[in-house]
Parts: sequence; C-alpha cells; structure tokens
Amino acid sequence: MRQIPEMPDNDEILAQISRPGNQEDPAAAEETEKYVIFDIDGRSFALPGAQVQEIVIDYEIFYLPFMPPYIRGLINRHGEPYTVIDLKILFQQQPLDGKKFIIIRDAYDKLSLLITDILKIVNIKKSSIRPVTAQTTGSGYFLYTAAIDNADIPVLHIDTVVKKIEIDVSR
Amino acid sequence: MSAAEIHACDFLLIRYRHSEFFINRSNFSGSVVYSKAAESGCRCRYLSDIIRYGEITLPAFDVDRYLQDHFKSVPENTSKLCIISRYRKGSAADLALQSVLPSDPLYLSADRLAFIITSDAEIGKFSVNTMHLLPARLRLHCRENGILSCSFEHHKIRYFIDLFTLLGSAVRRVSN
Repeated sequence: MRQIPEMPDNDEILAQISRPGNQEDPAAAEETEKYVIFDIDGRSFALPGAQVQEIVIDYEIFYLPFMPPYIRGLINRHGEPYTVIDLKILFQQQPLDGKKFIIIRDAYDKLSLLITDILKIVNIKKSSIRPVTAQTTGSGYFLYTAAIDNADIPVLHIDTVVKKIEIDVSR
Repeated sequence: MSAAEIHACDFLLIRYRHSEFFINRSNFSGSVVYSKAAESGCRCRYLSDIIRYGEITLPAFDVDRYLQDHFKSVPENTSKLCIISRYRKGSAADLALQSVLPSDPLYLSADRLAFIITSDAEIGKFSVNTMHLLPARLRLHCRENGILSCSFEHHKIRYFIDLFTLLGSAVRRVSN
C-alpha cells in the first residue's frame, strides 16, 4: 500500500502564515501601472493607460482657424469633431507628418494626440519612476520619467497640455 | 420657436474645394450679382468695396476673401454674389462698421450691409441633427470668431458660421 505523506492540519498552516518573514518579497509584489508608449518623430513618450481611450489611424485632419499652431485642427470620429494636438509643434515648433491618433479619455472634451506610432503597452513598476530633469525638452509637460528598456521615457501630463489650450484660446 | 422643434432649417450652403459653409437663411433678405461701385477707403481690407443695391449704396464685407485667407478655402470658380442683410443701429455690426469705415460722407445705408460670397452656393433645407458642437475647450473661442458648429460630409468639413460675428472678428483684428 502506498504511504500517504503526512499533511499539515489547518492550525499548522495558520502558524506558518503568521510566522515573521512568511510574506512574499515586497519588490516582487510591487504595484505596477499600465502605460502606452508612443513615438513622435523618433522621440518616445508615455501616457498612463487609463487616459487612452482608443488608437485610430488614417484620419484626415480638417483645418480650424484662429487656433494656436499646435492645434492642427479636427478629425471626424464617428461624425464628432475631435481636437488634434500636435505635441511636436509644442515641443520643437515643427509640425508632425503623422496619420495616427491617440483618443484621450476625457469626460468633458474630445481630444486626440497626433503621433507617429504606438510602440508598446507596458506595465511599469513604481520604483521605475523618476523625476523629470530640467534638461528634458518640454519638461513642463511631463509628470515624471519611466525607466523602460534602459531608457527614461517622459510621461505626458495631459492636464498641463489641456491647461495651455485653455489659456491660449482665451487670449 | 424652441430649440426642440428645429430638425431642419433653410441654409445657404457655400461650397469650396475642401470645405463648405452653412449660413442661416434668416440672416439675409436678398441677393444681387457682385458689382463694385466704389472704394470705401476702409482700413479693413475685407471692407474695401461699396456696392449698389437698387437706389442705395452699401458697404460690402468680402466673406469670400476672408474665408480664403483664414479658413484656407480654395474656390472652384471666381464669380461672386452679394447677399444683403439688415442690422440694427447700435448693434455690434453697426459699431464695428463705424469703427473702421471712414467718417467722410459715403452716403452708405445705415441699416443694410452686403456680404460678398462665391457664386458656388445654394439655398436648401438641411438637417440640424448632422451638425455637432465643437470640442468643449475650443467652443467659445470659435464662437467669438464666427464658427458656431461643424459637420462632416464626403471628406469635407462644413462650418456653420455667423456672418456678423465674422465681420466683428475681422474688424477686431484690424483694430488690434
């Protein structure tokens, strides 16, 4: 007859659970957040995944007059006009030749970012987040940088961009 | 009429190569073929013409030129029309005109104004339901510059514009 291995009873299991040092390695259980990494003419940026509603491609940009230069116009998404923000103009004063758009999740407004491409969607550990250095171009528009694949990717602070729009169009 | 009752309205639709413009039909009372009668001497380039309308002379706001300059509109033809609108003494349009038209007596009508448009235009009934408000953060700024809403049709954008606000916006740019 096969010998049944001795099984711990419930009290023994509870004792093990309550023993100091039983918890998993804190680093292994560290909280992560999802980010969308995108490219604008060779520069990588990140946006918290919760702020991305959709990625759309091949939309025509319709010109809207009397706007600051970084507002390239409108796209027609299911008949609704969405503002197109060109971050390359905001950071480098050069228009981006792109056909892809990130639709921003915003309960109040309809906004999109003109981008070159989506690079990847990643989970980033909080320990990988670092403050933005003053040397980063457009540093005022970033929350922090995230270390991904040995590179520090600036994380866009969309509220700052929106605030700039509000100020510029109210002049 | 309450807003809830409006489903379709009479609009003047002005056509350009990549864009179209809706103007509320109730904003003008008649039209004539464009024929310049004189120079106004106005410092606003869009108000440089005076036209004759029956027995009276009117200042003419060149909407066609304004749309080409500011909306990047490309006309399909060069012939032009004038649509005739009334305005009230003391209204924003009246004050705008007074601020830029020369004070010398030009014997212009004090309550009527012509808007010069491309002849590539038609009056028709169009559904209001296809029009959409502009994105929230741009809406007020657009409205102050005469753009009320927009819609999309066959790879074209259709702006719903207010002519008198457009005039005020053009005059403001000269004054600033």
